[in-house]
Amino acid sequence: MIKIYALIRETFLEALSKKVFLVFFFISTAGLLILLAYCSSSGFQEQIHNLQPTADDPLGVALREKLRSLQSGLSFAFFNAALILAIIITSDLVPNMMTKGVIDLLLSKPLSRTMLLTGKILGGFAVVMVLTLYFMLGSWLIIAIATGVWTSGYMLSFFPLIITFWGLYGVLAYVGIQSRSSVSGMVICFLIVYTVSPLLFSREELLFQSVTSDFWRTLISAVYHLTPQVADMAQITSNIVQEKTVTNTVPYYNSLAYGALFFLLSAFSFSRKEF
Amino acid sequence: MTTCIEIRGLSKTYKNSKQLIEALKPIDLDVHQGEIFGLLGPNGAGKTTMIKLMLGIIAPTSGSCHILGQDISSLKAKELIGYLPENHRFPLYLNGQQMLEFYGNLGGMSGKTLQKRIDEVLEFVNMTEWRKLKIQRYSKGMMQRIGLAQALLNRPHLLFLDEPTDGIDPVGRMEIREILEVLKSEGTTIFVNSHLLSEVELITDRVAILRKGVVVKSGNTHELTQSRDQYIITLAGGTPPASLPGMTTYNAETHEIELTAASPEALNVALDALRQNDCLLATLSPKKSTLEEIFIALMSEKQEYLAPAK
Repeated sequence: MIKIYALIRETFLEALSKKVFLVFFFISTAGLLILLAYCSSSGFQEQIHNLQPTADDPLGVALREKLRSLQSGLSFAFFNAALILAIIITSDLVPNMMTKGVIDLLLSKPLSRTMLLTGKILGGFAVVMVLTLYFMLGSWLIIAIATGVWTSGYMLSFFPLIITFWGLYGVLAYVGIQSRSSVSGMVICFLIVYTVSPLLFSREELLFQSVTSDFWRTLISAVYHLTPQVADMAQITSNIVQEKTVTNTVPYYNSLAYGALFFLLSAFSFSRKEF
Repeated sequence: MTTCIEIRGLSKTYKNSKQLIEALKPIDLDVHQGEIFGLLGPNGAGKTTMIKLMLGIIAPTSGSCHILGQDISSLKAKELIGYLPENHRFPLYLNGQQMLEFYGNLGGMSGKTLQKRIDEVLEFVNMTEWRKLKIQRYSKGMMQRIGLAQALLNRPHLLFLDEPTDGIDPVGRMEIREILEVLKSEGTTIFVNSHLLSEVELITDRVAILRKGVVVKSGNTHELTQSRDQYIITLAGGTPPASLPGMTTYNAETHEIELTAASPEALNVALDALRQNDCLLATLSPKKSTLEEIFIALMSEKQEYLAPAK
């Protein structure tokens, strides 16, 4: 246990020493300060005052609507920003570990390769969780204190974000082990997040208009099911924030399975790698 | 004498897309407990491959390597070793204390035991004062000393040092040498890979010289550097006869005679001849070659050095 803990702690300190970690932290802090200023402004306070439950709206539906729209906007922006920064922060953790002068010393210690990789991956995951929680918890508290309404949907959206990252982190680790470079993994993840997944998510509106062959449509649908469904997860996040019922849970399992599969592949590949 | 490292038929062949590269041909080697063993060879000779095989970093194509009876692929064997790699890249964002805690934890140590051991190794390598300084501010010599401290954390039975004095000034080299001498006196076996042949000659008990993946020479450092059947005689007075048996050169300025004598009898015949010519002997010593001379000769395939050591 002490070995895994040491690896997680060291990975955390490695991430902490990077400028991109500080950028993430400063962006989050700036976002929280702006939100605090906005929520403290007399205009916002007046709006909240006017939206308090009345005889016509005893359940405070209008206030909840206002809150949902604010949290939904925040969560959409944060989902995208957090994924970009999380990918950048964690992209070089595994390749850095595999550089000459680092890996030889680590492999000379009495710990298995699987444990080494697991500790490194958990360390990166912990970094992203802490940074994500920092912003989400902070913004949730600011909004709740300013409005007096404590909703759970916004905080629950933490889970789809983390599960989405889990799936992408698996790809990042595997590509990092194969290529020993952080760039290839980053490029593939960004392609998935900003091109492949949105296209496949909207395949019926965007692709099936020009593709009429059943074969190609089936193939496109198969690719959709076999790639991380990031756009679907963004949709789920939005639904959770707006306290809508989530009916399609397949993207959850897709991301979880994707992460698990790629971490297993990574462990297998890492255990056979020669340095 | 107990064997610390036992290598039998160890070989490594790398495969790339076009060909097989035989980095290390089957090697048998024993390193005894408590000795300092040097591995020498030019770039590409297979030294790094051999060290990686011995540390279990890469898998052998054939053969085996045991450390005190434990197969090197086992975690038990790794508990017995300490390693200072060449071109190490310690986490620069940590200070010396944090770095030692990290590697100590990876070795399975923790709590007060680890803290006590860190204090001891820092004191031993004379780095106590700099424990809170970020590693990125360490000089090359300090980096080597903290690296040595991390290799010593688990009280290793066997210490692997890859170019331990590379890039260090003479004072720093002397300090490392002194540390190794103390470790040796405490019974630690030390396996050194180095390009600095004069350093190796000073500290090692035995060496092996690798060329193109083959051990071309191995043996006791002292015996290897001793030239067979060659002597240096210094005269305090007189001039040697031109017909002196076995004389190869005579330096009139230093009064030194270089002599080849195949047996003690032949040597005494030469000494008698000198005395008969009223020569006054000052010193007589076997001629020594430096490890560097032997190494260069081996690399250029001079046959006289390829014979086994006495």
